[in-house]
Amino acid sequence: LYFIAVTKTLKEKKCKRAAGAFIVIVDDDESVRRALKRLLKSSNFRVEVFASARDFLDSAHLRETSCLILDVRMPGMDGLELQRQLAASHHIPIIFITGHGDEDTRERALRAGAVGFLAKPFSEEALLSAVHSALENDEY
Amino acid sequence: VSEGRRKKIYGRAALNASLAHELNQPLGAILSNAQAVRRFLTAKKPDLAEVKAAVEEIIQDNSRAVETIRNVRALFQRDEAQMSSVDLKQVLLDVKRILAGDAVFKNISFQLDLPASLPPVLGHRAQLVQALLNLVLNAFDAVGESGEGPREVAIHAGERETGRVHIGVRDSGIGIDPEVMPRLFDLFFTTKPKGMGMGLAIVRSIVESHGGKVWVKRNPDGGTTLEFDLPVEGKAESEN
Repeated sequence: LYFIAVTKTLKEKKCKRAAGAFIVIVDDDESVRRALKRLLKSSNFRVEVFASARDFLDSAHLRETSCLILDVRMPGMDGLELQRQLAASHHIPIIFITGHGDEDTRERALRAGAVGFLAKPFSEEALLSAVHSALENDEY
Repeated sequence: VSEGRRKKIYGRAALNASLAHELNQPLGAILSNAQAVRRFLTAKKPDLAEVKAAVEEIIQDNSRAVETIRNVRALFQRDEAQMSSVDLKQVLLDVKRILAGDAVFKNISFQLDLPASLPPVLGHRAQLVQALLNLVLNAFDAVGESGEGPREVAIHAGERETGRVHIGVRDSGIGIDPEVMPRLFDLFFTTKPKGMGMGLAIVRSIVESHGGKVWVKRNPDGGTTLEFDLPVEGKAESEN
């Protein structure tokens, strides 16, 4: 019984933290941006979207971003390059999303510290569990 | 394995990868929107405006996927057997007639500069019309994006070198970044926000299946000219 109670509090704590979290989506595809934003908003996250890595870097949102959902292949700066640039200055957990799903990129991204790598189309369970683990890792 | 065969195999692998990507994007968006709808509907007071917006996007993304598949089929479903003698001058006049209203509507001067006659080419008339329509519509887009300045699209045609009919579609539009020029005719390559990257790929596929070549030039006075040539009937180089 004690165990159940503890798990419950942990779960509640986790949800509380998640609910306030600010999530950024960077993807050059408008449909993908809009759909993911809607899905995350339906799960009570605060969400902002950007069409390019540059737009995100130039925005005022870097500091408050608790999780970044990032497309791999984009014109201009790609996702891996943005990951490299952020690694030096910011500790934002990154979940990569890709329509290509190439294994080489997956390994590179994960080795460089990505918390998730999802191939489109992915389910809400896959996305939300990646987001939750990103937010947990970000706790310290 | 011959060079041509290797190119074909490589091309097919590249096509499969890009096709998967082009379909995964709308399929991913459809799935996320559908799952968002499911969440909205479990709320005590569902936000029906959001539900409606999501469903509209699902319908749009579905059309996008269907359109991609339709275009890819158009790329490969070629009826090789029924080539016949085609008068490109007549084809160009048809294209002009089809798009004249469009040009007026878009406030673009659309001119043909044709010689008295052109030697016939061996080919599929409907495909050649399609290729030229795509080139001219692309030129209209380029002019449309340019905002100010002249709004002109002109087609010129002639037998520039013996045995080859040469056609150029010239626009006074925004011009093309030299960096993207090599990829201009690649499948799924686009610089337009709503573009599919299929129009010019279809042009290249049609021209090459007729034994011709496509290329792009920057106009010295601004804008772009997309050009292709086709072998005159009976003058096609033998396959090597």
